[in-house]
Amino acid sequence: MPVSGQELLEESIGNCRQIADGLGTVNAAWETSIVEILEKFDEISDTFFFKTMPSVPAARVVARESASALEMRQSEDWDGFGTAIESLISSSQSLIEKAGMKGVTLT
Amino acid sequence: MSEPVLVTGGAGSVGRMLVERLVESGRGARIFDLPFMDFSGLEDRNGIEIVKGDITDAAQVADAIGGVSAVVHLAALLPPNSERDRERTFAVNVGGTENIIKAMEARASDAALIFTSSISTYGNTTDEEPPVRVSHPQSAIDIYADSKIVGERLVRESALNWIAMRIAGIAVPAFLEPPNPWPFVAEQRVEMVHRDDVVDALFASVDAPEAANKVLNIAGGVTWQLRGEDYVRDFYDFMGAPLEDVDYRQTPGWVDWYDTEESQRILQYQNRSYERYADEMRAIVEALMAE
Repeated sequence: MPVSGQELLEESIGNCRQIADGLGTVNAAWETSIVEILEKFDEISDTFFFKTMPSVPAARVVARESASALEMRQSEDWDGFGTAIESLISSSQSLIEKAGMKGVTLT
Repeated sequence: MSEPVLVTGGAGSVGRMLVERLVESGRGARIFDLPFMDFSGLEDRNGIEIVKGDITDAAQVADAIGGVSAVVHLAALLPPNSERDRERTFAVNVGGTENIIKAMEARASDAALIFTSSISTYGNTTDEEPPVRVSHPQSAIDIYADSKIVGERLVRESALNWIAMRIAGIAVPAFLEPPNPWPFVAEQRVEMVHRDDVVDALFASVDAPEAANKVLNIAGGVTWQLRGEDYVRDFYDFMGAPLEDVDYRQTPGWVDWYDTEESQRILQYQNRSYERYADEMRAIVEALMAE
């Protein structure tokens, strides 16, 4: 059974919430970035885009990268975490852009 | 280059494509559209003039009309926006058309007016035998159709050479949100038309003396004649989305199957079958999956 874009997004939201929890004590800028991403994810969650197949590849990248960043956060691997956060921010922005489908089917 | 064709609403998606066709063919195009529209890619181009203005402003419309060989009047408020404010919709769709007619009668009386009307003007025809012909009475079931009926009447009663094109729902080959609700009930007859075929029809109408003073149905043709539920099922299939939470109208909408024999004979615009549209949609989704 293939995982849907929405399920992958929800997985990413869960990972990002755990990453953000208390992150400000380590690095306030990282925390701000993750909180902003979470706000955007909440906005685009449950939209039509995440029911479609084209949402899956982009959402899978974010889910994978958020899981990787969470693992580094939990193991306090801060050197690797900085790189992982940058990658997560980039892939999240790409997903958010793709979810902003243009227009409505004309009828 | 010959006298330009004025395209109202020329910065919109169909308008842009028509403008490109006109320029490619050696005809000049003059775009009239609202100042806040995106004119990127259209400015500073040979063969394209841009006039920024509001169709409800008679003076601005009059300034745009001089020296044109034809006017393709696309500018309109469309559903769902048209359904929010009847006064505003009539100001744009009827008042704007009136401004065009008056300006043409005064400054370009030999030019042809191609008016984009709508098959929505037929109202609910589900209990009748298809296809719907142009002789069918018009009966609006929403503000948009009502405004198009009045606008079309103004055009037909004018002293101009006119063509009234009653255009079916336009299918755009792109990754787009579905409408909510779909403008028909599940079992209703549905005939849409490929966006590019609409552009072909508009382009052909600019130089179609046989179409003068005719009302023409513009729809996709027999391969596009489906049932609503089939169209929706295919749409979700193209998009790779599960067929769930589909919201249809509660009562029949203004879609049906149409008699397009005359329009196709004169304009030769039905160049993209439904199967071709389906292939385009699948290719678009495949490309997105590969990104």
